[in-house]
Amino acid sequence: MHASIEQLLNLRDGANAGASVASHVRACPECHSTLDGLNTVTAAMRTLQPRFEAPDRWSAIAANLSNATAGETAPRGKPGWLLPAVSAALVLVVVLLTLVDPEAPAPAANEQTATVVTPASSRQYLLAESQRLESLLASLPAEPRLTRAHTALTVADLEDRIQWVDFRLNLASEAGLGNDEAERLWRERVDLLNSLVAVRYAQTRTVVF
Amino acid sequence: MTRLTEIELEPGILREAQAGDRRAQAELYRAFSSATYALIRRLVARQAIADDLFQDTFVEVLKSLRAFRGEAPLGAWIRRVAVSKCLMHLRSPWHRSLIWLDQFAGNDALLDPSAALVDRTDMDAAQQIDLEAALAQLPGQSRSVVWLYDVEGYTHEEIAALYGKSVSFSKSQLMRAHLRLRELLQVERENAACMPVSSNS
Repeated sequence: MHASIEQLLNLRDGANAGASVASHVRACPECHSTLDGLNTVTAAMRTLQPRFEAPDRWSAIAANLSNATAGETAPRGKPGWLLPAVSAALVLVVVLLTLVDPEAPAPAANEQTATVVTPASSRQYLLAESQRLESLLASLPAEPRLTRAHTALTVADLEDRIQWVDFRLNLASEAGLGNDEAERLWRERVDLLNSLVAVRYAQTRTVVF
Repeated sequence: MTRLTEIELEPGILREAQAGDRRAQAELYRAFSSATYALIRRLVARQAIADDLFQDTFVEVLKSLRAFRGEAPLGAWIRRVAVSKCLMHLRSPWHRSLIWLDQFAGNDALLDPSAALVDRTDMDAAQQIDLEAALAQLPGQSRSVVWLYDVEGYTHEEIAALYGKSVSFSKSQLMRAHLRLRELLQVERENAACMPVSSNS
């Protein structure tokens, strides 16, 4: 029985591959050759010369920095009107769905999202709210296999923006940024999660309907 | 090619860039742009997306530069931002939808057209092209893991943390990447061995 790639990688990296594997590889020409191949590919990757030149994006970067200095902090490609527009559209969708099917009991998700008000409060409140919305999202049914393109794009956009906020929060904690900035990011995260819960809820209701 | 972590910037330029001096920031950009872009292209094969991630990386780096305390090399910090942005893209629904589209379009969009123009008798260049092509054909997560682990020196624990997944995820992606690379490079070698003989001979 020959050594697996996983065992050979362990052997290559000096991790514990087991004495029997090591002695087998020493004695087996095929395994020895495969191990050599792994080492060759790794060495080739390390010496691989990039054949692509960096694009000249300095003017765009400088313009973005100037905008940020002037107070425009919206990231590229994420228009500021999107979140309010999505929220307004979703309220409309939820209202319409309720009107069309007034007999259907509204799930807890709807009640909870409808009453969410985010005051200018402490970070603890925002953290708790963030966790609550995360668990609410997790409790919603899985995304349907068939969905409207607009809905899928909205969900993707909201998830992207949440990841972007998470990334900035990670940087903020490492860089020791101020409380105001961190609280602003947490508030943005809660707003985005609220919108995502609303979209996902509308999505599940549409499929049921 | 100098790696990101090996690039040094004069402390004076760094201080001026941190203070918001645009000229110093441009100098910092010029010093680190090639190595940063090379890394991003290794992690994200699509040029248009890599270009945007490259721009986003420098915007983020220069916006957060005041927070850089110099405890690690600046290149390591820039690498961290670039890697985070790339992995964020690879995890995103947008990337997943591109994978779905690639199933129908083939992988041509990922391959460098100049690869076909290389003189196959130059073996070093040909092997580099084969490796480039093989890397470009790996799934994004496998490619990023093999590159971060084997070339950039990240540990499985660090990769797992970046992806928000377990250490076994990183190990299995590394294993899959090497299995696929072996297959792809074997095919390339067989194709090279079957090059038609020139009619002049």
